[in-house]
Amino acid sequence: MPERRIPYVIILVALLSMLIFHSRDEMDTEVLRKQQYWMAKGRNTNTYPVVFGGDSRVFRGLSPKHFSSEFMDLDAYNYAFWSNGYGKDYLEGLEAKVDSGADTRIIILGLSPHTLTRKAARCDHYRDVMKRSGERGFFSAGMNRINEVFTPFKALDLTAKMSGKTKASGVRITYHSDGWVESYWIVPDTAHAAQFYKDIFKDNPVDQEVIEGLLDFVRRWTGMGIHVVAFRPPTSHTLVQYEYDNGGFMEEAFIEQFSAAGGIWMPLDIDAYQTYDGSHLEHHSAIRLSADLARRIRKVLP
Amino acid sequence: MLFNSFVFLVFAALFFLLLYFVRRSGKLNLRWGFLVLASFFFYGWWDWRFLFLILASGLIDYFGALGIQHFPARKKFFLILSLLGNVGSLAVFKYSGFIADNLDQVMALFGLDSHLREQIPEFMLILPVGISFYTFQSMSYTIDVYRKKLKPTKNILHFFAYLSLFPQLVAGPIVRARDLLPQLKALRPTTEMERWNGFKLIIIGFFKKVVLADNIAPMVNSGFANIHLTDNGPFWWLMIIGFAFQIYFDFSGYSDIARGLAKWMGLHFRLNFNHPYHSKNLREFWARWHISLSTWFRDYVYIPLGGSRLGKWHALLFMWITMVVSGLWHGAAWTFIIWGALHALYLSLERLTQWPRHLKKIPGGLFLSILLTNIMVLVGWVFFRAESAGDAVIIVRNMFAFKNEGAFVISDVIRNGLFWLGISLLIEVLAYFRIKPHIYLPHRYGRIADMLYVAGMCLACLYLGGEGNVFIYFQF
Repeated sequence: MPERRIPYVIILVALLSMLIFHSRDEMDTEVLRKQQYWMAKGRNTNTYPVVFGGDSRVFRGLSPKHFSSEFMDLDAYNYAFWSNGYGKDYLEGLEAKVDSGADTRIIILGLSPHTLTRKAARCDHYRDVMKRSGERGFFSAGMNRINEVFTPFKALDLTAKMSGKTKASGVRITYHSDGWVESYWIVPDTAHAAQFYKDIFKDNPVDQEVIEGLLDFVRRWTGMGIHVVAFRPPTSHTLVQYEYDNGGFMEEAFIEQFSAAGGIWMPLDIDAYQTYDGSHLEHHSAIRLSADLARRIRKVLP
Repeated sequence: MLFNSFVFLVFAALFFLLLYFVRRSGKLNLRWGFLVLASFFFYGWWDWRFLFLILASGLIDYFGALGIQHFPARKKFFLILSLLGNVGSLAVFKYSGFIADNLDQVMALFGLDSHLREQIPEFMLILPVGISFYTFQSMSYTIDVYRKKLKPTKNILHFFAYLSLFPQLVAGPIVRARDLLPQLKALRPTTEMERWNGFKLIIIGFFKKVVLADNIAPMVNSGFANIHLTDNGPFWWLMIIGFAFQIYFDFSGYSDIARGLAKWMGLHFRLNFNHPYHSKNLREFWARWHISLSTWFRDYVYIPLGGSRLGKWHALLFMWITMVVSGLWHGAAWTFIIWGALHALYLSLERLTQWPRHLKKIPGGLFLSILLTNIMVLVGWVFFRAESAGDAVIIVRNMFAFKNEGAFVISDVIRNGLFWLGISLLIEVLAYFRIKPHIYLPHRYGRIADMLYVAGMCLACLYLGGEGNVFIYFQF
């Protein structure tokens, strides 16, 4: 027995792994799908006529597929990242995503005040994704099946399952290859996000330098013949008010500067869309917003 | 190459397969050459260009040590050469940005715009992984030769097999030449029991890193990413307790994996962590935390400065110097220096007041000592983790304001982190009371329980891991 302990353990683990793999459902592999989604975003070298940029409000709130179906089936891609801002690196990345050979080229920017802060403009998540996808690329290709077998469980979901409870709240997520993260909560809580935004602008207000940097790119893009459209992603009224009060965002002045730089501002009726946490659109609203934006942009473009 | 990556699994499988044949050949040079080649491949996977730095650092010390042996009259010269080489490469690659930033600020006080940082070549701002570990290991070799505690090896492959041995190359433990060089010479085959113990250590290490540290990390990161999120006192206590466990399991996990791999190679590395949060005083904490580094600083900084030979006040001064340098070793930032100084302050108070001894005399004093020690350590960790000293002060203020007014922010990430924090606490409490259920079983069943325990940990690593992170100590 003592001589064979290591092989015994390995065989036992292999058998139990097979058992676990055959008894798990799709929700259990959410961590893997998330990793694969960001890996794919980082490694995607394709270019598109229409590219969406911004933060989590954009990658959850805009579906390229539903946008395209209302916009001449033009290929679109959602290139937004977590807590993202309009820093130089990201804006360059966004530009590189646009198909230079396409007849119609559009960059659509989700402009929440936080995207114009200095902290967000560091684009930490964008840079991290780019770095990681480069590092792991070699071995991740073709490893999906193995990864799927060994996808980690979330401990809390597992304990809930073992005790016979299904998760009553929490985000339900589907990751799409066009960059959209379809999300909703079984039990929405529109006051939820407010606690995370408390003090988010403390020592980190909307920054004029970040705005100037963005406007430089807008001028450059419009000079290249790319249409640049921006909108403020719909959120709860509480958050809108909070962002006005604490973010130092002068929306009207910004719209004026943005339009002068050649951009097109799309005002939205926030009551037409629902969020699940006060900050992010639930999936039905995201589909509606994508289609609405497509129709309205089609109307204003020459 | 990260231990917690698929590529390492492939590398390790090939390495041990080839090592089997290399060992059977009985040729020392072949074995050392193989170890050097494998270790360089392991390191070069991250960035092959920095292999030249290890080579340069190693060559200076290899020839420096031979110089000390062959030219005793000039041995000081060779020692200084070695120290300059190692400290110089640390100064260039680890501290140049920090030094330039501070000089820029000093110049700005006099109204001068020096912009020194902008003049530093970009490659000097990349911190080579593990530089602090291998330079210290290399330095200890020449210092030991200088002190005549060690005979230098004439074989360059033998020396580089010691210096670059991959299990401990990038994050320690810092192994002394006098421990490892003789082991590398012995070519001892491993026993089944050693392989089992090595396997167990590797799995325990992975469990600590992948399951515990990586599940707690997102919670801690979410808190520290926005220190203005809330001023709720209990929230910040939990964040910093989370970080204390994260860094402990992250680093001790790495050390366990390194020790386990070494066992499979027929080598023995000393224990690097011994349940530091069980400590009853700060002195004990440093005897249990990152033991290879604390003993390095004791033997190569504190004692050479004078230790306790020149009286109480000199000893305190030397201890302050040692702790501040140790803080700086951890990172080129004022937060690390403050962390080191804070521990020096704790140790000074402990030496001067002897509070742990007094506390021991009162009922419950032992647990009170542990509690007090851990509170001090936790405050230290705030400075270690915070992005700036200003952030650290805000967090410490929140912790001690005992306010329960701000929101206790709860998200899925925090909930998950708290779950694993609870498990971590339970593990440490069980370890403190030495509760090991399987020792109560009859011998045969005890063995089966041991196997089930390891299999359980394997499954936990496979199915309960957090989101992959690099080891914290890589940045040092």
